[in-house]
Amino acid sequence: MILSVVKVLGHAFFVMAVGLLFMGVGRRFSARFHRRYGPPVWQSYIDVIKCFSRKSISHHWIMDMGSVMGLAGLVAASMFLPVGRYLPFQSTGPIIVILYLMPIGYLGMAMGVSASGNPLASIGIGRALTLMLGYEVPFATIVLCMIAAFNSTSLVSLGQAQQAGFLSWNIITMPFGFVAGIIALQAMLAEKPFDTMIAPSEIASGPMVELSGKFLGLAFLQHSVGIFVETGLIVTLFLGGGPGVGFFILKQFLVYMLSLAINAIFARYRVEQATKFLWFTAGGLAFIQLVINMYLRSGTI
Amino acid sequence: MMKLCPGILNTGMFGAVVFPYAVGIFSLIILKRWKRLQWAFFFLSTLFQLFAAYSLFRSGNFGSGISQKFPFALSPIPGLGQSALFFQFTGLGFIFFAGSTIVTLIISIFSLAFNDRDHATGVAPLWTILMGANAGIFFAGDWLSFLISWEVMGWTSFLIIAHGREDSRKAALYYYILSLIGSSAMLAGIFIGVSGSGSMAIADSVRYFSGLWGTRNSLVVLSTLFFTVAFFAKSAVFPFYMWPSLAHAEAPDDFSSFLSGVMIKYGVFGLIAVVLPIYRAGYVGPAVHGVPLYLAVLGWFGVITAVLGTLYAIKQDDMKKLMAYSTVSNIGLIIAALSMNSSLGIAAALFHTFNHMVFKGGIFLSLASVKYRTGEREMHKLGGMAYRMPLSFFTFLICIIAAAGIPPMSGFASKWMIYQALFEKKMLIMAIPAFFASTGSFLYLYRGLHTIYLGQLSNRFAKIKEAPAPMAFAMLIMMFTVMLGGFFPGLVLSPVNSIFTGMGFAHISQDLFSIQGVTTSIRLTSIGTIFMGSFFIVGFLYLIGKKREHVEQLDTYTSGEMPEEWGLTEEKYHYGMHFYEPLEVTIEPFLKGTSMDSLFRRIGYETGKLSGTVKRWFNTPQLGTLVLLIVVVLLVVVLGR
Repeated sequence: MILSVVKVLGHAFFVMAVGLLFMGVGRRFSARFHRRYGPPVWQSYIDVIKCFSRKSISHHWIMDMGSVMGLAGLVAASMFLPVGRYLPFQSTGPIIVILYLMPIGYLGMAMGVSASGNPLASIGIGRALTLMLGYEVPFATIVLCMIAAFNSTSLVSLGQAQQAGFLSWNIITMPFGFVAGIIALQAMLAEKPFDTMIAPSEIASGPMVELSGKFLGLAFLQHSVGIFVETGLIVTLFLGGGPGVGFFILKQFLVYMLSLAINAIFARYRVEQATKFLWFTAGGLAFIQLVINMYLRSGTI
Repeated sequence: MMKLCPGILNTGMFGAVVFPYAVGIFSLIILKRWKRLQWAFFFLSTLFQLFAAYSLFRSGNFGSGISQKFPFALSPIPGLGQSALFFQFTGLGFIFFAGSTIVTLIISIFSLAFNDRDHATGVAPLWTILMGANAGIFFAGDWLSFLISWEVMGWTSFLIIAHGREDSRKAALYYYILSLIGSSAMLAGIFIGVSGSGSMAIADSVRYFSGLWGTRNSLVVLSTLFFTVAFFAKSAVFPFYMWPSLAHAEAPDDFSSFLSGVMIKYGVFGLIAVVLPIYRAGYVGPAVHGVPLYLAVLGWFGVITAVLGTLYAIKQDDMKKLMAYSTVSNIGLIIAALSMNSSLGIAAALFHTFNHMVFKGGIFLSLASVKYRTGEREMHKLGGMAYRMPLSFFTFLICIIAAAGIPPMSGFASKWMIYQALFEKKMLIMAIPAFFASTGSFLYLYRGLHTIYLGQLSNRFAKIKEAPAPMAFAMLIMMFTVMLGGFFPGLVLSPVNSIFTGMGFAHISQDLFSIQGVTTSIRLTSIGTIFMGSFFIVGFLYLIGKKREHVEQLDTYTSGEMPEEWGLTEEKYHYGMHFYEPLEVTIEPFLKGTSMDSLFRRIGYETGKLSGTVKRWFNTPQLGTLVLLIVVVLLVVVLGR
């Protein structure tokens, strides 16, 4: 009992730490695209610690509760994601549970910033949810592709199904699905061209506009856990998971760098353009993969 | 009465149907002056029904489908052997009866306080009668008692929705005309079944139709189509998805909760009880992935309904209309699951039906208490209610988490099962719109949360108070039921499993804490625990951070000023109108293209022309309509032979 509590606690902090490290390296990586030096890789840790040690303002206790709920949802989702083969507690890594636990994080965040009463924050949330309706279509279709191929939604067994070597990875066997997945991931991470909900120059960072001190710190941590879970999903679904924790994190890192590279060279879509693109282009690619998997592919696990 | 029908089953069913009728008529005639007493009687009669449900539960044998004769038989009808009215105790009917009674009892506690001098609607006697009809529908063993209950239900709900107001009358009429279309279709189906089987019993008709596979397929499909139209019209499935937005919005606020929670499920019950058994063993005909073609089409109608309901809900500014469309969307998902006609599908449909009763009931109660205090229905005029009505806010929050299908609340488990039912039959393409509808629900539910309860509190409502104690109590019960269903799915699924024996289905594998699907299994209690654990971890982080300072909402962004010379007020500062405008613009052409309104208007116009012609022939409107009806009915019977 105590051991499992310690494991869960440790896993939560491990996930946050890895996510923050990704963010730190990512900032330096993006800086190189812009021909600057960029901050040191540990800058994100400094930022979070600083945020938590400064005075903050809140408009209502619902704002506090929402911020806590926001991070809690994503931390809970990360508990079900097998890192390599490691899970903090016994589960099958049910992907639909993860897909539905992540929204509680976004809902909590949305509730918190709504309680601040700032219209810019609400506009940002409105855009974020619209975008969610966009990327959920290709991503759900990818999950269905996996069911068509392996009749499983358990991340553990989906990872095991790709252990036969590089050629058995789903990136090779399901190329259309992978492209759709990368597009959906870009939208999930709110990187360009899908960063309309943050849009600093337009709606003053949207949801973050009223956050200060530890509330901003919690938002930072939420983003870091989000990076971990979302890249982790792509790695498990398409890149063979990983035999070990180290390999898994390396693959996650590569996926995140890919996402940042796309971010560095694209401009921003308007939200309805982004949604349409996600529905029709990404969704279409995933749908082609689904039809291939359902009718042309033979053999299951 | 005890002498006439010995045995608890009989007394229970008989009492559950007749007692509310008696109380309703009594309070309609005798208690005309004492409005409050009428509501107390409504509460007592529902309490009695719950007691009846409990005694049925104690004595009942879910599997056997025992039937009991009504104390008074009809005189024999020539050509029909079995001509008595009788009740039938089935597990399915019992589950629906128990669920609806529990939810109605909670609503009736709410109504006790809601109907005070300023808000009274005087619909209590009718609602009491409606509860009798409610039991009658679920226990009917023959077509005649089913039809009587169905019509009583239709009439009473029509009168309640209208409740003597001009704008409500139109909505009620729309609702009633659709019900009428449904009833006529059902009548046609019943005629075919009764004339074929030679018996009034529902079970005999079902047996008759199932026996016709391979010889007269088109007749079976035609008759099931008649029944399906009736049940679709009642449950607001495409193409009848428009009526809830009118009827639910215009009905009395506490009745909306019942309408959306309980009444819309009659179609689901009818489909499971009448249509699905026909397409089981012995089915001969085309199939898609092992699902009969007809049912696969039904499933597609379900997901189309789910998507359309979601898209319309996203557009609404009226909070009751928004939730009415949300109900339509949920019904669509239920239809999709049950049309898989597997034990997993039916279990998912029943589980979601029950969960939806509770969480949508809770949502409407919460909205009713907001309207009770403010009198506003348009969302953009509200805002910030959470700061004044925290309990209503919490009820709404917990219930929308369930409605969005987010763990650890009850809606997640049932939505997960709906997906599993689709996966089991490899209906993967059908699952895409289902996922879409489910994600879309985050959009409209969040909009409700933000626009009604969060954001800026208008000065007009700065002094309002929390809902009165009985209303708050009713909402609390709803909230806890939702949580309980999320942590312990077995509480609902075990009874569902136990009725499967009588229905000829395999059991689904589940226990109190977990459900086994086809692609994976989930343990809901551990999901809930993990979420709570994460909440504590993050709460700890929050506590170690430096203390926060409370600042008034307007003190940051507008620097404490509210420049009214710019025309800015708290109300306008609240971002609520056209919340998803970019999305609305995107989906507008699609909604225009699929709108059934213009089709119905066209049909209405043509019918008007036709009946005008007929009227001129006979010169009296009554005779014309009567003859038209007789001709239609005769035509159907003759064709059915």
